Amino acid sequence: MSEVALDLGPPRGARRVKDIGYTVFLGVCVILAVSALGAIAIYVVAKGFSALSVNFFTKEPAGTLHPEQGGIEQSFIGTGIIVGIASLIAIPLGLLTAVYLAEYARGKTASWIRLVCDVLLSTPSIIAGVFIWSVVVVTLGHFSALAGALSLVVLMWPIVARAAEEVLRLVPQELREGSFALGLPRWKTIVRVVIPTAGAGILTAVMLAVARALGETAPILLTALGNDYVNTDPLKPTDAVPLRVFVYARTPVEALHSIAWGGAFVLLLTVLFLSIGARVLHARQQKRLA
Amino acid sequence: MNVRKTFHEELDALQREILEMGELAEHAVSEAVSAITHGDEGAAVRVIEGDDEVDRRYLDIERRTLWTLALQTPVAADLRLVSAIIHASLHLERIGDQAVNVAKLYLLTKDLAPSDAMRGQIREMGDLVVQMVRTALEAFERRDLELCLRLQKMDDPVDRLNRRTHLEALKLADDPAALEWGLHMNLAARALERVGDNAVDIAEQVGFLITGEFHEFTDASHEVEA
Amino acid sequence: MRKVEVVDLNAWFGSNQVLHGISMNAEPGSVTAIIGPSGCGKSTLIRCLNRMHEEVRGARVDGKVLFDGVDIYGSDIDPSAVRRKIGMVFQRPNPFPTMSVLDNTIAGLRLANGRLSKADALAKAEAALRAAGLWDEVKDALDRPGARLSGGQQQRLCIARALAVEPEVLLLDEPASALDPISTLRIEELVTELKDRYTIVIVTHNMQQAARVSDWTTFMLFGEVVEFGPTEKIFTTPDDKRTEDYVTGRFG
Repeated sequence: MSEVALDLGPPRGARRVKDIGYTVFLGVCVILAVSALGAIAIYVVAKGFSALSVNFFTKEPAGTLHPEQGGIEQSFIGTGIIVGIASLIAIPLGLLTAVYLAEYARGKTASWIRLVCDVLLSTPSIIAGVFIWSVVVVTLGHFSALAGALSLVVLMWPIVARAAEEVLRLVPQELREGSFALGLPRWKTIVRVVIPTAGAGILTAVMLAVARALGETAPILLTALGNDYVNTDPLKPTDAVPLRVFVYARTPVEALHSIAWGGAFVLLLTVLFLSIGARVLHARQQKRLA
Repeated sequence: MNVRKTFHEELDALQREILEMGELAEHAVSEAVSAITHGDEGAAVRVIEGDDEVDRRYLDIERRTLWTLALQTPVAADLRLVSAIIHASLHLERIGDQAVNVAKLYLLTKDLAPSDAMRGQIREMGDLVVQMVRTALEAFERRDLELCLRLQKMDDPVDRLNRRTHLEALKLADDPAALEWGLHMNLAARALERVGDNAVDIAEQVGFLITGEFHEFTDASHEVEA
Repeated sequence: MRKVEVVDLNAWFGSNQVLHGISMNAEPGSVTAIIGPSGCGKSTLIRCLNRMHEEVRGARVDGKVLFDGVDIYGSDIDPSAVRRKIGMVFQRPNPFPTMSVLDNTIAGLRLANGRLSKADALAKAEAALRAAGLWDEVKDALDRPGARLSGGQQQRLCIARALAVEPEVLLLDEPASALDPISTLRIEELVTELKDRYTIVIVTHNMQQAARVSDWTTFMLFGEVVEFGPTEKIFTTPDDKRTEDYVTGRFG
């Protein structure tokens, strides 16, 4: 029989109070944080829902006499074109970079590329806009959807590259070894085994990049300029939804404010859908690789 | 589902080896006794030459059981079986050697006049011990505990006959040639008695294999009723 | 002719030498085991036999590994070609998670050649799965994901996958380490069945497994071969005292 030197700590009642206290405190913090998003969402929905109509999606802005009868058809088409072109360029580039970083790069080179990615990731988007403005807009002599797309590529590429690289790294090395042992060369292993296994994760990376691109306003302003009419020529100035929201918000016309809320609402919905979708896919991917 | 097929096939093969070796040993004893009782010189020669095969099988079983122990680490009944095989092969080899002794004893005395009485005793002992070897092997093949226990009882008449041959040999004391024959036949009887003991030992091993407990059926330090 | 002959092989991880002057053979139609304590270099050695060692960054090999008399480290030899002739199964089962049982089995064939008719695919898969002792258990579930099988079944699937490519040599790197005892014995029985048609080299940290399964045994210590000989000899009358100490468990 020995002297038990167990420190029994503070009495049970006091511990209980402390526990509950902390739990409540953390709960309050979470509620505060969530309510910020909640407030935005509720406000946008409330204000924007009423603006939605068939005209909203299918008509261009109406004249000054009846502004409420117009729509922002050209913004949706413009966003589609700009983000579409940007995706066509940024996604393959990003994927190839991710493959290079995850499967081939050694030491110094890899570090440098990752540094560039990380810098671009945190670059203010207006700088991307200014850069493309001086390189593309000035050279071409005019604003264009293409310039807008290129400014988005600068922002999208690092997202795809880093996120996809992380997913590729998560594919267990033993799968690659299994493929090599069957006599398959490295590139085939990557294309037929590694990438399919990372599948959902890569889709997640893409969705995150597209969600970011959809909402950018500043670079679009400096590169695509905007347009009151539908334009499908990538070499001409084109409108975009976030840009239109920005412009309409600054006018004194109440009807246009309403349309701006509508645009904000559609944007919010799309980004929310993409983000949640990305999260769901991510979870499923984690389960599969476990 | 047998996941150690190769190993168990080897055990089956070793068991068949023992039974075959047993048949050879049993036949050798029978032939050696027949040489004495029928004056068959050819039989005696065959026994002596045939012992090489018995020895060869003994060494083969030795080698294979050693490998089995080293490579397969048998446990439980498998381990007891390997142990029984090792012991049985040793006893069978001894039985083979005793048969050779009997054959050689005949060849040494083949030109001397035999005593019918003793010849009769030798024949009777021969029949009994051959039956004992056969029974022990059958017990092994069938894993029959009852047969094992029977061996103990079969040994008693053999011991009694062995003693009677001593007395019978003494009766021949008057004639030197007959006495010489008689003394040699005495040795032959002892060799046959040894065959019986070896058969009992085999049965003891089989008993161990079946029950996991080792019991001595006969013990030299204890009295046997005459 | 010996199927695989290792001649004076040295291997490094960066500047750290892990194999010193290794020489050993694998006879056709036999099982050769490589045993030794942890860190002795047995996994490194077997990975040099199909040029997997060099896939690790900074890894280096020097010496010769002859396959049917040809050095697989020759300057004009394609490592992928070597690996199609010398297959490997790893310690932890690694079926491809995005593929079904059937697709996994013929992955080596389909990913290499592309064109494989459905009938061909099924025939080759059945042959390989039968050889691996898995056909009866999966013949009605060929479309199930390969990763949903039990551990022992997954490992036999990996063996089938390796066999489907029709190699001549099969390298097994501790194939049963991650499996339960009964699955382990099944794999051992499978190895015994396969040795008629293939030359097998198996690394194992389980001495008794090497004793049960192999015809030849190599004992390694600190990156060197201490003794190489028939398995019965290694386990009954080894030449080297270090071998004796290891197999009797006097040092681990």
